[in-house]
Amino acid sequence: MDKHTESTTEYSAPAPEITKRSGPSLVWLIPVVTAIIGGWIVFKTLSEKGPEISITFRTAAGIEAGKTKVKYKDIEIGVVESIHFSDDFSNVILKVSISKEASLFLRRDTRFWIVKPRVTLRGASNLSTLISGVYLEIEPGQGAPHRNFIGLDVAPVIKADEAGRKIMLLAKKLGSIDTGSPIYYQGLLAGEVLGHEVGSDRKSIFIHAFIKAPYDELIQSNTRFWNVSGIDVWVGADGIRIQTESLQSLLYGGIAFDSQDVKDHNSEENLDGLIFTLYDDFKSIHEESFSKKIMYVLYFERSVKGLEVNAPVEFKGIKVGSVVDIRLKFNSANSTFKIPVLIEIEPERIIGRDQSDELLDDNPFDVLGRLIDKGLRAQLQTASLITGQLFIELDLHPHTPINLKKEDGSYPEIPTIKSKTFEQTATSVKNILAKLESFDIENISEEILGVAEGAIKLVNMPKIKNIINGIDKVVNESGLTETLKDANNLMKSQGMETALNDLKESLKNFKSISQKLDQRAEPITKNLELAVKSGNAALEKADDTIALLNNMLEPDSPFQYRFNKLTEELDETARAIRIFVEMLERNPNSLIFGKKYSGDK
Amino acid sequence: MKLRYNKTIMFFAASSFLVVILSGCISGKAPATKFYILNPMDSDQPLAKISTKNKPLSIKIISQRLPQYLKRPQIVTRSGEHQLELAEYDQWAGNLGKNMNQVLSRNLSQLLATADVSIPPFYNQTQCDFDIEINILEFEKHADNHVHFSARWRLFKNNEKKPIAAEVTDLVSSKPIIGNRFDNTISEMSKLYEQFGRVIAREISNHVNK
Repeated sequence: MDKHTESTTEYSAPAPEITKRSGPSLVWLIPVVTAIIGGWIVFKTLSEKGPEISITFRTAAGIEAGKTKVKYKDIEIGVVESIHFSDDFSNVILKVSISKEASLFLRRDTRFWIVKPRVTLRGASNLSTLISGVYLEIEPGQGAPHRNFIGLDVAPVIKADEAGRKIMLLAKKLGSIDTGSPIYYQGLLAGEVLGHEVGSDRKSIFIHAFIKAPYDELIQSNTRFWNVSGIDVWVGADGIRIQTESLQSLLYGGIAFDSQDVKDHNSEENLDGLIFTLYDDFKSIHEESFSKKIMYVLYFERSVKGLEVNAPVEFKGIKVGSVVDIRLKFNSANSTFKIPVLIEIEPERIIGRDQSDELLDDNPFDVLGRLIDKGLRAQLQTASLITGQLFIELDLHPHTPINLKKEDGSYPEIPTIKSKTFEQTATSVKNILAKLESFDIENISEEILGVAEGAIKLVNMPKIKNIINGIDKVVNESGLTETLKDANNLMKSQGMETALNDLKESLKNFKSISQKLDQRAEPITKNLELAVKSGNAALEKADDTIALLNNMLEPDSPFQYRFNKLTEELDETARAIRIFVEMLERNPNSLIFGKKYSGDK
Repeated sequence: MKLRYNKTIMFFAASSFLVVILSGCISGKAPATKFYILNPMDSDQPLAKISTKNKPLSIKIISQRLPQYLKRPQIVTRSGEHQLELAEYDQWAGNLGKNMNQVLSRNLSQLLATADVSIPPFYNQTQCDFDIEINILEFEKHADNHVHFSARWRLFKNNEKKPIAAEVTDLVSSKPIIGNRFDNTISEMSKLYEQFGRVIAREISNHVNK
């Protein structure tokens, strides 16, 4: 500092006053501000950026990185950032950035699926994606926050926010039921089939289904489901039955359900984990509801043609069971054939299900023995004369022989009797004849002779004669002969005559009919003539039309004149347009600036 | 403030557009277009004594075709050997072809002393004694200030398929046209066309007399 002041005085020049600035230059403010702004932008971007998640799909059909959107209720909440393979190349993994406000959706149960156009029998959906391209749909779920998801191959049929109840059905066969098959309650659409899988026994099918609110309240532990797929044609001993639920179910299957009318409101049933049986049809619900079955065997001597497995077994006309098996047995010892028919009786049909009865508790052999003693017999009956179907009729026929074959002891045997329909009639006729044969005719004739002798004696007795005379008198006096005469007259006068008259009338009617037929023939020919005439008229009309056309096409017809005029006008118009266009071609600006002035030359 | 600015712009744009549109009306002194027409010949004596054999001749001009370059309202002149000039302010009044049809029919009826000369369009197929078919090849003022006329024509008699005469007539105006006035040109053209009519009429009268 001192040195400087000295030098200035030495050279007598104004010494520059150098003041050392305290602190850095103002220029540094610019990078600092830039850095702050940059940092703020980075912070803002980062803070606004939502989470990035990964979704695994089996294929990435139609998905494009940077383009495919993630939508929730049709509002865009994210975009696919990149697509790459999983480590084993079996799947594709999508990296998706989700907007911040939608990050709440990312929970354990959240589901993703690809929305693409779908055309099925049930109709077309998502056709707009044909133009806009596919997108991912998200369905928010519950659970802990999550970042890695496995996408669904197909869109879930029932959204999580839809009220209702998921149920599981157990079926013997799937039939035409498929994902999306309708579930009906009294013909109303009450739900849908979500999917199906084979049970662990590799035989039964588990069907996942969803019942929409308010129908889900109808589901109880005693609810019964049955298949209404297609047309149910059933030919049995009671004829042909055709049934279908709706046209929709006819085309692609369906399930119907029904609940018992009695609903126990007091006890809230826990239906979780309950598996319902899906019956093949409505009828089989009834059939399969009888769990207890007792097998019996019957032996028939006559042909069982027309008897089929599942043919009903009826007791006094009420179905109590069905035929299980029909076999043919050969006995080599005496070279005879036997037809054992195995039937099952559902005793629950006979007595109340809840009632305990000795019939159920006792040994069926004992019960049967008692019944047979009372006259229980089986016989074949024709169910339908047209189809020739047979069924087995059980009834009490006391005083009939007990025909027991006692072939094998595994099933109790019910004795059979020959059916009434044909064989029994024949047998009874035979019986009558046999009885007639066994009559002692000689004795009878002797007795008759004796009776006749006695009668003659009786008639010859004077008392009897008197009695006969008396009767004669009575007859004459009472006018019995008159009555007989009257009857005769009546026969003559009314019965026969009316019959004859009727016949006459009938003949008359026939005659008139044939006459009418004759008369008909004439109008037909008349009609033909008329038709020919009208045909002629039509031809004449056609002639007129052609003449008119000719006139029109003639050179001096008004039409021709006008047509020529029109072409002339058209010609002029075309000319005017051509000239205008030509002028524009030559002077494009003449529209604005007018025609070029050339002057006379 | 902003609104006002917008309004100013709008006003400016609209007014400039109007200026552009209307400039055609005010730019320069657009002279009135003059219209011309060919005239038939002055009333003259018939060409020759034609033995009409009781009835006047009937003549039909079947068609008279013009070259494309003449089918326009502007009067066409040649400014060079191959160069044409269209007079934007001197135009034919109406269709030149129809005008020529009219003039020729009047000339022929004058020359052949008959009123029955029909021109297209025809609305009936009346039969005529003579049918004429003309193809104009050129009909304009050339750079040499002479009007040139050239036509190929055919004459049919009694509706026969074969023409009785087929000729090419070339005519040039006798004296050059003085000045730039179209009046002179048109009157020279009328005279030349009249000459062409005489050529045809002479041919027809020759055949009539035969």
